[in-house]
Amino acid sequence: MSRTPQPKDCGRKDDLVSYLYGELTPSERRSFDLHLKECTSCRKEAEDLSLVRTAMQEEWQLEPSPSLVDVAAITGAATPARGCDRQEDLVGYLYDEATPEERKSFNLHLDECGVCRAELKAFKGVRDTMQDWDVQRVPRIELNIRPTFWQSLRQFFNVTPLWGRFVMAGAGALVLLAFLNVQISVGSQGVTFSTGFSKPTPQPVADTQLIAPPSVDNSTPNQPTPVKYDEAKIKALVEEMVKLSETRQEAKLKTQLQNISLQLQTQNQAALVKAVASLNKEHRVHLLNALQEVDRQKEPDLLDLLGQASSVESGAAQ
Amino acid sequence: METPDSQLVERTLLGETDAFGILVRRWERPIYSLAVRMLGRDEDAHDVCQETFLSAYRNLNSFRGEAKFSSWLYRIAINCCHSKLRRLPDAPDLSIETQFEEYGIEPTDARQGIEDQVHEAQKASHVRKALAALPYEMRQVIIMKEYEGLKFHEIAEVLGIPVSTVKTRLYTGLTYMRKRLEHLKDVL
Repeated sequence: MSRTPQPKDCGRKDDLVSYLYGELTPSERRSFDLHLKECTSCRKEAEDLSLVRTAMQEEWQLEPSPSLVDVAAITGAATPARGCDRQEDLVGYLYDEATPEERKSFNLHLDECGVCRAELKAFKGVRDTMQDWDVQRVPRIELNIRPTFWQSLRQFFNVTPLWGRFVMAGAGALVLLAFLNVQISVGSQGVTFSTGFSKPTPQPVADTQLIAPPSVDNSTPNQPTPVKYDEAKIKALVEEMVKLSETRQEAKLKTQLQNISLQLQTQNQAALVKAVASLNKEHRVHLLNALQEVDRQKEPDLLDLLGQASSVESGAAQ
Repeated sequence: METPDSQLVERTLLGETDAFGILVRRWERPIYSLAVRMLGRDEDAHDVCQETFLSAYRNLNSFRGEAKFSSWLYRIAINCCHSKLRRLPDAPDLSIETQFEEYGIEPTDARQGIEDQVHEAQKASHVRKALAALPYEMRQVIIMKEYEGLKFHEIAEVLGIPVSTVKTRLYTGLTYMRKRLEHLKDVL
């Protein structure tokens, strides 16, 4: 294998390789062209490497790899200049995917651009040649498909009649409720619904346990100590409560009696007013006098009192 | 009238595996021809075809229906081809002699003369060889456009690249094919 001469280190060896393989950007290429004019070692190196590449291509009858010629095309970057930048339009036109406007515009362009005209003709030839490779033998694809659990379940449901689906749904719901330990009871408080995931069902306790005195834990100081009641105290309490009840009962009865007497007085007064209204004038005068007499006897006025006092004094003097 | 792909997908998702069988019959030829052109070997193409449909079946839940089913299937096939190429120990020998030995002459019309048949087979081999020498990115675009007849936007959707990149790759690939086929024409 021939060894290429090493250039003096001008620091642009990487650029030289990229330059030879056409992988520099246009600005880098211009910059390196200027550099080649000045740097004799790079110029010599470039000439030698070009000769090696040509020899290799001739010997092996290979075209330069498109990956080296045009990496930019793979990454979607612009392709190197070819005298016309309407490659994309050309491809759209070639495959009949251009809009009517684009087609019209490109037809006009074809009249002027020899590069595009030549390429279009060549590409049509390439397309015709490529159609020579036809795949005629297509083996039948046999798939061993195993449906998943859910797919099998769905398929099963699809073929099951409607009533069967309802039954299965009901059974499933019951299993789920049992698993969740759901309890529904109807009592004095209405319907009670309770759940307890994997909680054991409480067992009914014996009566003796219910009346057994609760054990008191003395270690907890904050808990109130239970009051002990003996028979005498209970009796006293009962008597007190009976008395209290009697007192309340009496007070209640008194109030009721007062109310009744008030009602009677009101009724009597109304009856009297009615009776007086039915009397004539002479009877009313008699009645007034009689009432005044009664009042006087009940509540003596000051003159009567003075008269009584003087009669008492005279009696004492005698 | 042919049942739409989307409807067959729905039926498959509902558990009707026969519906997926219809999809396989409908798309096995395009997927196989894509694979054989990408990989160059019938056995590998057959494997990739099976992998593609199995993968599609397993991941059918992830198919949203936003894209066409064919685009989704092509994307899976392209990924399977890529995985297959990485798994292959060496790049296949693409010399004309090897291809004749390995694949034989492609069957053609029996009415054609033997000379024509040989000539056709040679041309097909040249095309196969020229395509195989293309970089992977350009090859897949040319195959999808030239042989599968996908639109630019469909190729862009399958590969997840802009339409302009599809056109650039196609242009560069055609340029290379032109050089390569002209060179081989001279050899013949």
